[in-house]
Order: sequence, then C-alpha cells, then structure tokens
Amino acid sequence: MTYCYVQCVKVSVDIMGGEFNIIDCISIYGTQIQIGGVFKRFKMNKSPIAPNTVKRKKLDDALSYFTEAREPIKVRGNLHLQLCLDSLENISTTKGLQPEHILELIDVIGTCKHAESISARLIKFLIPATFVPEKAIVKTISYLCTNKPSTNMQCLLLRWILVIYDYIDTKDDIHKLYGLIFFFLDNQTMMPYVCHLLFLLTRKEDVRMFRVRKLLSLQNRVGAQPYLIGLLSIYKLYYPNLVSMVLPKNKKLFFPSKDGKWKIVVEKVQLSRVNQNTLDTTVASERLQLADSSQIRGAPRSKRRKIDPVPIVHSNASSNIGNPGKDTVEAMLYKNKPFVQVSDLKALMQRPDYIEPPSQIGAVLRNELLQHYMSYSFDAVTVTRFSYWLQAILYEEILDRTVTVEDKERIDGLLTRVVSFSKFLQEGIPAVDQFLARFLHRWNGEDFRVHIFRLISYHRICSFQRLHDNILEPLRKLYFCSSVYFKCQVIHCLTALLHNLAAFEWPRVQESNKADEVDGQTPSILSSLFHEETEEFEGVVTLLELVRYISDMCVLGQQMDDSHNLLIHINLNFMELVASLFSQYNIPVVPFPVKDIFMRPFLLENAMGPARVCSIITMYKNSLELQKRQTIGTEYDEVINKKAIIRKCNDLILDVSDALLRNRAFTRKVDGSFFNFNPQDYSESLKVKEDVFTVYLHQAFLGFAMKFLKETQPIEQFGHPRGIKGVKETYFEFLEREHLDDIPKYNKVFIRKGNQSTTSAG
Amino acid sequence: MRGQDEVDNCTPSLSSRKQLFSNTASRRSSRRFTPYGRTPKSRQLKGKNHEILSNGTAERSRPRDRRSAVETDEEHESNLKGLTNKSWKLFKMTPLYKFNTESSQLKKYSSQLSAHIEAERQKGLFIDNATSSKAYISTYKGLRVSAADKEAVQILIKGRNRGGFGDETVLLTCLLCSVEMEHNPVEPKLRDKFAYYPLLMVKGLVSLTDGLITWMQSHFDCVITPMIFSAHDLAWMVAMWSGTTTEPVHKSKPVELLYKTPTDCKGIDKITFTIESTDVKDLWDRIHDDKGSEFSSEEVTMFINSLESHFHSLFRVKLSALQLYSVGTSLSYIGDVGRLKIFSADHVLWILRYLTVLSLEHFTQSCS
Repeated sequence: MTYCYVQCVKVSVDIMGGEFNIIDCISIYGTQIQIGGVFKRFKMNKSPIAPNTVKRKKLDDALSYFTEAREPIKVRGNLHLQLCLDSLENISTTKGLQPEHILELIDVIGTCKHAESISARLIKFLIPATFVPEKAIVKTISYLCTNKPSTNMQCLLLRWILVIYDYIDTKDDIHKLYGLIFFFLDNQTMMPYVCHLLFLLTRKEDVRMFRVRKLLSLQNRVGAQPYLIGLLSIYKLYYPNLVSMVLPKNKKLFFPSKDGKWKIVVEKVQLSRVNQNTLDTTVASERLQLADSSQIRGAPRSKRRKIDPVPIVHSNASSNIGNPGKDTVEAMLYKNKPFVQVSDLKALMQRPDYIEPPSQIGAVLRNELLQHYMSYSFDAVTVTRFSYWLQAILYEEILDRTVTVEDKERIDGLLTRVVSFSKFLQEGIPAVDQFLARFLHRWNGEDFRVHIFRLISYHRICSFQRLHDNILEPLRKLYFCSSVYFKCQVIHCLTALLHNLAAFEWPRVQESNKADEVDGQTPSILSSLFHEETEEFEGVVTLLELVRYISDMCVLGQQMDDSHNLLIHINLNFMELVASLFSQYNIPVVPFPVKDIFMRPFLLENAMGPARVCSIITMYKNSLELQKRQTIGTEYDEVINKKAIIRKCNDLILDVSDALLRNRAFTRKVDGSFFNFNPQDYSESLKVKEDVFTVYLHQAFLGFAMKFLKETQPIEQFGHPRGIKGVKETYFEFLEREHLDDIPKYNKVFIRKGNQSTTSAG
Repeated sequence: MRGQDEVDNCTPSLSSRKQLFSNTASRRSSRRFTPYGRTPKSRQLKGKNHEILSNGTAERSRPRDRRSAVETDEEHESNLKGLTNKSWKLFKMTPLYKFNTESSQLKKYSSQLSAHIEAERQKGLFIDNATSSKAYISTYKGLRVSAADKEAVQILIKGRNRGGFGDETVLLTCLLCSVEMEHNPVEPKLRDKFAYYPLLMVKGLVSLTDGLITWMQSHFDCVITPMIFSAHDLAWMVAMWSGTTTEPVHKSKPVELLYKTPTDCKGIDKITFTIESTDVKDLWDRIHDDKGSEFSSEEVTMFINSLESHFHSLFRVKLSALQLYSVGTSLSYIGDVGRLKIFSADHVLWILRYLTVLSLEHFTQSCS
C-alpha cells in the first residue's frame, strides 16, 4: 500500500516538479495521515549517498582533526572545531563510538595537548557503541598518573570510568592497578570517585590492614563521609576482624552520582543498538542483567542524612552529678532509680518519686511509660528540659533550613510522635504553639499537612487576638486560595480546635483560676503540665470570637464553592458543635453563629442540609430553654447579649417553619428574614410561590416526595406532590423511615397542631 | 510581651470585660502578635560594660597582692589573645542541664569525656586507631562581663602522635561562653539547674567535634546546632566593625564582602568585593556618628547601600540582589555557616558580645 503511494508521489513530482504540490497530490488519495511517512520515504530515496556513510565520513574527519593536530587547537572563533565537536556529539549520543575511536580519543585527552574545555567536552562524548576496551581504562589511569591533566580533568575522567563501568569488556587488568588507584585517595577532590571505583573493584585479596589504616586516618581527617564508609563497609564485608568500627545500620546511598543524565545517554545508545539487532539475544540478556545491577547499585534509596532526632531512653552512669555533697550512705538510702531500669507500669508506680528521668528527656516522645511518668511527676525541671529540647529540635529540623525530600520521612516521624504525645496529655505544648506561630506564616499548605492540622487542633487557649494573629490569619490566607477539599480540612481542623478549647482547655483555665484562689493545692487531674506566663484573657471571649470567625469563613466558603456538599457537611458539623457547647461542655453562654450560615445548607439540593439545619435549631431551642431555667444572671451577661441571640434564633425558627412547613415562605416581611425579598425584582418570570420550599416541594425533598407517591399512589393516578399536603402525618412517617427523622421532630417541637402556629424558643 | 497595655484592660471587672468584647472585632485588623523577632533599631557598638571589665577584674583580685592582680590581667589578656587567628566553628546551645563549673565537677566531666572518646575510638567511629587522646576541661577567665554571664569553660582534647611518641598535641579546642548577656533567659527559680551558654566555639577535627557534641547533648540534655547568619546579620557586622581598627588604617586588612550568585548564572559562583581599609574608614567616618556608642540601623543601611551603589556604578552589577554570605573586616572574618576568625585580641569581646546577642535573640524568640 505504502509502496503504491510512493510510486504515485514520484509520478506526481515528475509531472509537477514542485514540493508544494506533493501534499496536494497525496490528499487526492484521501489519507492525510500517511503524508509524513510518505514524505520521509520520498526524501530518503532521493538522497544519493546512504546516511551511514556520510556519518562515518564526518566521524573520521572529526577524529582525525583532533588526532592529527600537532599544535594546540585554537578555541576562540574556531568554526572548524565547533563543527567537529558538534558532529562528534551528534554521532556519539545517537550511535556511540567504536572501541578503536575511544582509544584514539583517550590519547588526545590524556596528553592534554588541547585546551581543557575541549578535552572536557570530548570526555563527555566517550559513549561506547558496543563496549569499552579494557585498554582504554588502563590508558586513562596511566594518564592520570602522569599528573598532566588538572585535578578537574582527573575527576572528570574518573567519573567517565564510573559511568561506563558496566560496559567495560574485561576487568582483570584494571584490577591489577588496584594499589595504584588507591594512592589517588590522597587527593581530597577525587576521593569520592576513587572510593566508588575502588568499591566496584575490591576483591577479597585487596583488603589489607595498611589500607584499612589509611582509610581510617582519612576518615579522621575529613569526617565520616558516606563514600569512605561505603568503601570501609565492603572491606568489612570481607574481613570483619580488620575493620572494627561500627557502621551505621541504616542503609545509605554511599555514592550519590551526579552523572545521572550522562548515564541515561549511555544507556539509550546501548538500548538503540540492542533494539536494532533484537536477534542478538545474548546482548539483550546482558542488558537485562546490567539494568538489574544498576538498579541494585544506582537506585536512589531514601538517603537518611541525619538520624532520628528523638533520642533513645538512656541514663548516664554519672547521674548523681547534681548532688555531689551527699555521702555514700545517704546516697544509698535515697538512691534514685534510673528510668532505664523501670520496666513496666507496676514498677513505675512502686516508688514514683525516686525515679530519675533519663539523661535526654526528649526520649519521652518514644516511650509511653515515660509519658506516664512525666504527666504524673509534674516536675518543673523535667518539663522545662522537654520544652527547651522540643523547641530547639523543631527549629533545627523544620524552620531553620529548607526541608528536602529526604528529610520528610524523618520529620513526619517526629511530628507523629509530638501529635500522639499531645493527645496523651490532652493539652497543647507551648513549644509547639510557638513553632506553629512561626511556621504557619510560611507554610505552603502542603508539607506535613495532616500533622500540622492535628497540632493546630491541640492549640492551647489564649487571647483571641493572639490566636488570630498566630494561627487563624495564616490559615485564612491559605483557605481562600485553595481547593474546596483544603477548605474542608481547614474548617474541620478549626472545629477540632474549638472542641479542644471547649472540652479540655476551658475547664483547665477554670481550674487554675480556682487554684489561684486557694493557694498550695496539689495539682489536680485538670492542671496543666506546662507553666506558661501568658497575658490575661477571658476564655469565653476567645471561644465566642472563634465561633464567629469560623462561621464567617464558612459563609464565604459556601459562596465561593457554590454550596459544595462536602463543605456544607463539614460546616454543619461545626454548627452542631457550636449548638451543643452550652449543654455538652458547660460553656456558660450559648454562642450563636451568624445567621447566614444556615441559608445555604437549608437550600441545599441534598436533604442532609435542611434536615440537619432543623436538628441544629432544635438543639438551640433546648439550650436556650435550659439556660433560661438554670441561670438568673451570670457574670457573662455583659459579654453576650442574650436577648439578641434569642431574637435571632426566633427569626431563624420562623423562617424555617414558614418555608418548610407552613407554606408561606414569602409572607413575613421583616428585616433579617431570609425570604424578605420579592422574586420578581430579579426576574419578571419568577412568580411568588409560597409553597416552593415546603417539605414536599423543596428541591432536596422532591425525590422523597416522588418515592412516597410511587409507594402510595396507583401508577396511573400519580398526582402532584402538592397532594401530600393533606397526608402530612403519613409523609412524616415515611421520612422517618428514610432516616430523615429530624424534620418530623422539628415539626413536633415547633408546630402546634390545628392552628399551625409556631412556638418560639426562650 | 508587647500587649502589656492590654493586660491592664483585662482585669476581670464587668465593665472592662464588656469593653474587651466589643473591642475585639475592631482589633482584628491590626496585628499585635508577630512570630518574628525584630532587629533592634540600634545596637551597642562596643558593649556597655567594656570599660568596667578592667575594674571588675581589679575588684576580683583585690584580696591578693598587687603582683597577682597584674598576673590575672595578663592571664586575661593572653586568654583573649588565645582566641585570635583560629578558625572557629560556631554553634548555639539550649541551656545545659546540671552543668556545674566547680573545679571538682569539671575534673569529673573531663574523665567522662575522655572515657567517651576512648569508647568511640574503640568502636572505630572516628579516631585513627593509633592515637589516644584525653580531655581537659577548665574555666577560661576573662570573658565574663555581665552578671548574667557564666564563667566561660574551655574543653581541650589532646592526643599523642602515632605510636605514642612525642608531645601531646591539641586535637580540639572548644569554648563555651557568654559575653555580656543582658539577662538570663532561664526562669529564676530554675537557674541552679540550668546553665545557659549562648555560644559554643569549636576548632578541631570534624569527627572529634561530632563526638564532643554527642557527648554534651547526651550528658547535659541540650541541643547543639550550628549557628547560621543571615545576610542581614552579616551586613550589620561588616557595617559595625569595618571602621574600627587597632593598627594604623593603611596597614590593616581590607574589608571584604562575598556574594553568592544565583545558580542560573553559569560559570560564576561568587563575587568578592574587596575595599581598601582606608577608603572604608573614610566612608564609615562620614556615616557613623562618632559620639554615640550605638550603631543604628539607618547607618547600616546607608553604609551597605553606598558600597553596593558604588559597585553598581563601576560594574553594573546590583549586589543588593545577591546573597551576602561572608564578610571580612580587619577585626574578623565571618561566614554564614558559622565560621569565625578573629584577628584582633582587643576586639574579641566586642565580637563575642554581638554573637552572644544574636544567639540569645534566637533562643528567646523561640522560647518566649
């Protein structure tokens, strides 16, 4: 078929004699897709000489240009040089060089006849088409010994050897040079590469005491570098008795390679060659092996540059440093038991006062028993030690440097421990709050998100201004420029924070206020472990302001994301928590969020919205009634305007009842009512339909109404959902069965039977 | 705390509470709590008590006879001299738990540290098998200036050459110090448990340094982290110190600023800007008000700006867009990763005082 096309094209070219017409001609045949292929083929047929021969010629020219040059080649403004280098690059990066070419070029490079920049480029082109002859490597090493090439060039040559190491045909002769190569270690710049090469070459008979000693003294000089450890580790593998040092247990990447791209090019060249002659199965299998081996050695494993920052539990032998004056008898009498000797909770409880905390208190994050001890002992010194440590570690690990991918795992581990310790203590840690205040301002919303949100939710109670500046403001910025899922997480986190403040922090503040009045009390179960000097603030004000702040964020979020169902769900969770603050958590006031927050959930297309709004209103009614009965007037009357809240709540009840149950959504024309507007102001076609949001016509309930009708009506007389108006009680029973029991409950509480009037709260 | 005025408002009387509540909404707009510390508008150039030092030493040595007073002074001087012309690596520390400077305790620490090094050596972690070494810990007089300062402590690790022949050589020198700290950040009632040294200076083998830090961290439950200077800190240093010289101006070392270029610029990785000390002195005298002992931030900005604009007019390179990472003056050489070399013994206290301030600022910022 293709052949046929080519014929046609040829003919048409003959006739019309122009390239432009070719495409027209082909399009006559109606297969546009073929054009490229045909065109190419045509061009290839046209060229008189095969491209391979051209390339070979160019290569020979380029090579002879370098090999036959007697004088150093001029670099600047030398077009010929550029052309030669380009053609050489072109060929080597696509087809690779033959062994004899590599040998020739090594000579050119090693003698350093030409400028360094030329040699450096030439080294990069030493990509084997098939393999690298061993002789080339031996030659390279002997040129290294001449010391003619500069250190940079020597490094580059070594790097080249490492890149093509897998493609060297035999390695016996190179291995004979092992002792020679070892001498290169003295050059600090070359050391990493030399170590890598030695690592690859080392055989059992190479491991000698004098070499180990040399390596150790080098290590002494330059520190425990990964490449030295790498080489020592293979020595140790052969002769554990010669290398007595302890190697780090975690597996490291000893020889990180900078030449990834170079390696890829070499592999590509090899791959294309193998693809060309796929019949050559031996080569293919070789390649597979190579790929395997390179994966074992070269795969970038997670490099753990630093160890886990959390120390292990240990006690120093010199633990009695602090009380040197004590004589031995006394010391024996009051002998403190180091914590390492405490094995279980029972042992801990036997003599808790005589247990000495471990030398590094940071270990508390690791050890649950120690956490029990710390929360029991209430020792200010221990707590201060912990605070100093945690603060420094958080700064060191996260704030004072750029976090790289390798660090992530370690920091994740650290933060997980901090979160679980906070959870154990049921209170926030001041050091963490300090850290958050600093960190959130530069947070991208991405790093360690789970942990950060957890830590925020454990924030300690403080003045609202402080909370706002340190936590809420940075979160707000992220909130309004992120996806709806992030918004959900933020609101969820803030709801958790509110819960934490109400359930744990608020009672703690109350307790400490009481304790301040009666001095010298023993710490109760509620007291805080951390002694913090804070400014004075009113806990209730913080709670109220926080509620208001979150509800503002909710309302705007609902608008931005057009009542996203998930966001509304999270918002309703928050509203439910707020409604239960008084009854569940003994907060002395009933906070009421902005009324607008109810609007969009109520008009949601999902029955969850209106149903839960109804349930929240019922909760409010209960709370307000309870408050009315309980308190005659508290100190907080000044802080919060009770009457205004009751008024707002009644407004809401009327709105919801009118729309949902009383078929008169637009009747009540009062300021602050949801439906205080005329639909026709917006569009002429809109008619005022009072029953448009009733429990059977509301868009969220239409599906249920339909189902209800299907169940109760004969299929031919289906009827309009309006018909349900007459059988509301049965419909409510149906809703209850559909797990929407909040609506019937609401109906029971607020709508008096018979006259359909509304009961208001308070 | 900056919200001091607010604290007064927060007394739990009813009227003020109402006021507090109604005010909160309006206060949202203005931030009062920032997590960032602020660089003071001006800094002490020499240190307030710089002159007091000599009186202080005289006072301390009053019970002794005159000769010994002279000796102590000489000792202090040689101690200060001992810190010069060495390449230090700087670290900052959290307070050391149960660290005591009594001589008996220091002796004990010495033996413990020696044992630790010996143990590490046997593990083969860092010491050449042939060298055995010993630690000596002692107080280092002459650096204590203010009442909040603790007496500086010196740790020396000495080792014999291969095979145990020859004299002991110092393998590592380490100094814990605090110079003219304004206040001790440790809570008063815990001060006998914690010793706070803002600065740790080390000079020695990398592996030994690691070993020493591990030992200190595990023994005194502290965290030791390298001190890192921002370009801003370095600008302050070069501005404050480039005008002060001990020798005649024309002899002293030139002022040097090293800038890092962005990685996008291939073939050039740093720009060294060297200025003759006479020229710098001339500029400095014009900018700095000689009467005050303080150096203000305006002076710093002006000084750096004029240097950079001069460079710009000559080479069309905007240095202000590059990162300053190392500065050298006739007093000292300081790099951003906590490298320090002091040249002038007379100014050791100046320099260490400023570094103490920086370290303390970092610490109190994180623990306030």
